[in-house]
Amino acid sequence: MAHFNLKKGHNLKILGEPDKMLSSTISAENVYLYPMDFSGIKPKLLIKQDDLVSVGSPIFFDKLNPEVKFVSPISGIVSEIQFGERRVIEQIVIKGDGKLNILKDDSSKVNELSVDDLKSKLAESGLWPSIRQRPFSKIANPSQTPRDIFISVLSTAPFAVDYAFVLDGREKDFQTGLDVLAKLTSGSVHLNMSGAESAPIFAEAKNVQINTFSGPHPAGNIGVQIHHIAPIASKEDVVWYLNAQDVADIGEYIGTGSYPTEKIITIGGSSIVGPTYLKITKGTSLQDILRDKLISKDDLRIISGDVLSGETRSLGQGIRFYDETISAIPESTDREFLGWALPGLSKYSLSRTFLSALLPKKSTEFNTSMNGSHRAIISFGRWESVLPMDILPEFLVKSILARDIEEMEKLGIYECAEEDFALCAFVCQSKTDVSGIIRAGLQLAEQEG
Amino acid sequence: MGFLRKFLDSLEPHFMNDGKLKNFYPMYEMIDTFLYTPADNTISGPHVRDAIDLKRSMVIVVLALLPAFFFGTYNVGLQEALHLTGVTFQNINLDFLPHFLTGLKTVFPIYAVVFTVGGIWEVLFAVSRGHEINEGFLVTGFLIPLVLPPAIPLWMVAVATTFGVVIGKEIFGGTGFNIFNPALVARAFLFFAYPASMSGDKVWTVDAISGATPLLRASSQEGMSATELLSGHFTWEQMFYGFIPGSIGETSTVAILIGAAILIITGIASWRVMLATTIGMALTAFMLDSFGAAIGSTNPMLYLPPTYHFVMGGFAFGMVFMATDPVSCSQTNRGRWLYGLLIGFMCVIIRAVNPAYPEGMMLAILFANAFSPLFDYFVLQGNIKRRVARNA
Repeated sequence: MAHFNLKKGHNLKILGEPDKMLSSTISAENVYLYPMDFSGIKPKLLIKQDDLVSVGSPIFFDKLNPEVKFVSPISGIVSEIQFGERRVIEQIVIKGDGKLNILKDDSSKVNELSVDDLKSKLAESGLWPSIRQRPFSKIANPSQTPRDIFISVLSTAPFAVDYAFVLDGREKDFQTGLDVLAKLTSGSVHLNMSGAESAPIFAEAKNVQINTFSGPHPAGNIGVQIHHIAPIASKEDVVWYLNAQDVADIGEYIGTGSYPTEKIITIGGSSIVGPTYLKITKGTSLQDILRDKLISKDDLRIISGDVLSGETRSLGQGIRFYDETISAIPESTDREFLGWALPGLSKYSLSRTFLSALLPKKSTEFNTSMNGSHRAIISFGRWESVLPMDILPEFLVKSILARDIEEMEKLGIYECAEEDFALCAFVCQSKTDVSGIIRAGLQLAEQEG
Repeated sequence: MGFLRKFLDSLEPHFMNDGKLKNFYPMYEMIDTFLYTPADNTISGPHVRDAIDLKRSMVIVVLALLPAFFFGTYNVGLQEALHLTGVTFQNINLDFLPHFLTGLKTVFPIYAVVFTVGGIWEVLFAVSRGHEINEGFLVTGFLIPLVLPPAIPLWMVAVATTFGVVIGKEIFGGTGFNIFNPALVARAFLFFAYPASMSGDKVWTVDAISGATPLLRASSQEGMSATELLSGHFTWEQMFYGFIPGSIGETSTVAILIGAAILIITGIASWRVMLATTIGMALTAFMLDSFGAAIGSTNPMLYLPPTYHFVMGGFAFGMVFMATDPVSCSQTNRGRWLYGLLIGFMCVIIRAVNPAYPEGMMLAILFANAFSPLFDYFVLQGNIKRRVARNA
């Protein structure tokens, strides 16, 4: 067991923290699948409009890795397939029929299956896409053997789920999932948890290497953890990672042979009435999830994911495949008169340039205001102060802007993911889109590096 | 207030893409975001942002400069009175307001020229290049008069401001891209372009009267100790509080240290640079002291204690407001230590060893500005080597 004590970063004190209780289960009327949630795949449809599908029916596959299937989480009818420019599949809508038709596989035991059996079972099941790789945060390639596999059960992002709470009662499935993963790697399965006391489901997990982390956000981010445990050395140095709920799903699938259709998410933010935990069908539309839970429907930003690294979605869309949080905050509409000159007693800032620095930080209602306009990058040392990695963020960003791939590689681009730089963008006085630049750098490095 | 907002909103279309005045959008943006916080909302993650922006950061620097500005203006009036009346410092009335008002008569026109000339250049470049007008000039414009001698002819102020803004900043691409501090470039330009009027070391207080600064006096005679040369003219306390001739903003170490406290508490300026500069200066002063004794030198400046270096000339002002310029100083924390040490070292060396320039701070900072990318380079290579070693 190794312990890592991270100092840099910040836990955002934002209004609308979800209460730790599972308030309801939402059965989806429609589910939404977005091939674009998965970076780097070339999706090809396996169904047509009006086809009937069951739970676990393959809906599309990846032409680059044809064995990897993406399946339906409900039984129903394909009601809509939306194409964008150049026939890119934007959205697939499946309308539920309320029946429980399930495409079932045999149940089996982990130790009776070979590695290849496991891989093909998972690829067919629709669970494979939950396994992702670093670098590049894309779906793992089943033909590869990763150096290590990483799972974080430490949540530091705003409104993130408490894994001990959501996995309560799934101890056996979780352990089975870990056993499966242990067979897929030549190295170890790293289970990363809080340095404080951890629930027995994690602390007593077998077949894993346990690492503990303490410190503010982004200490819970898998990329930051990998950077400290065993950093990624090159483009070819592939490691895998996945969400803890997906580990339990893999275990459940191996045991029962049927695709687990539900997951627990949090809804949080000041625009939500009674922020809480919900059990939903995967791919449920935000409309269904947030019904009667929004303070108002106007001037609202709905985010699939957390407020730092999530993506804007409309009510008519679904939750992103990997997300376990939906956030809703007010859009900013007001403009403050002579804002730069005000003492700023209620301003939320990690700098000490407002009088609020003299008061203890309290939960603040954030809106979507940029709080300033875009300016040239000027180093006041803010980015470094929230990045707990041995990375020089400004030089990395500048090498990306200069499209200097060799320099990017030297400065550790493969160790990076945009979510780890979200706080850098949050604190930046010049309002630089640090996360977006990192994403662009990774794309460039993947294509041409 | 609502009516002003409505008025601005009604103007906005003229400055947008198909408006007649679209080339002047930067001016609209400047006025609009000066009066009201910008309307920009986040598009992608992070969806929420820290309240700080560049305007706020720059306003804090100006706030930190205010003590030096107020005292400096007062001191200009005071020095003028000392010379015109012939009364000694011990006997003169030190009331703030009358001297401040006399001083303002000299200082205000300088500010007016700097902001008019500099502002025109800023707008011209912003409009021709289509970028926003940067708040950086607010600070540069506030700094330039404070590093000038009070009786400087206004045309020189205009030329120096032009040089500082255009050559010091805009030809590199504007704020954030310059390698030297624009205010120092302006000062250095005057120093080298008009040596006869600037006379390098003499700093005028009022027309036609040149008052020797403490630095000049301390270096004036071989074989004497610098502190002896100063005694009878300037006490340490007098220099610390700032009742001495010198550039407008640089004389009062107290006022500058108040500014330093504001900058350090708010985290706008790097305390590392300030501390490293002080350490570099003190170490070099001690080193020269023993070196001078060892070779039996009669140069008084070799023996000047660090406490005197600290309060004399532009050291404190340069350290707090010039060396810490986030654009032209080193960009890494380790680089900032080396950068500060180099400034402290060079400042004392120039003051002590180069008889032509008793004031070494300006040149020391410009010198270190040129070297700051090199320090960053070493830090960068260190980071890269660590990564290579780890991955091997």
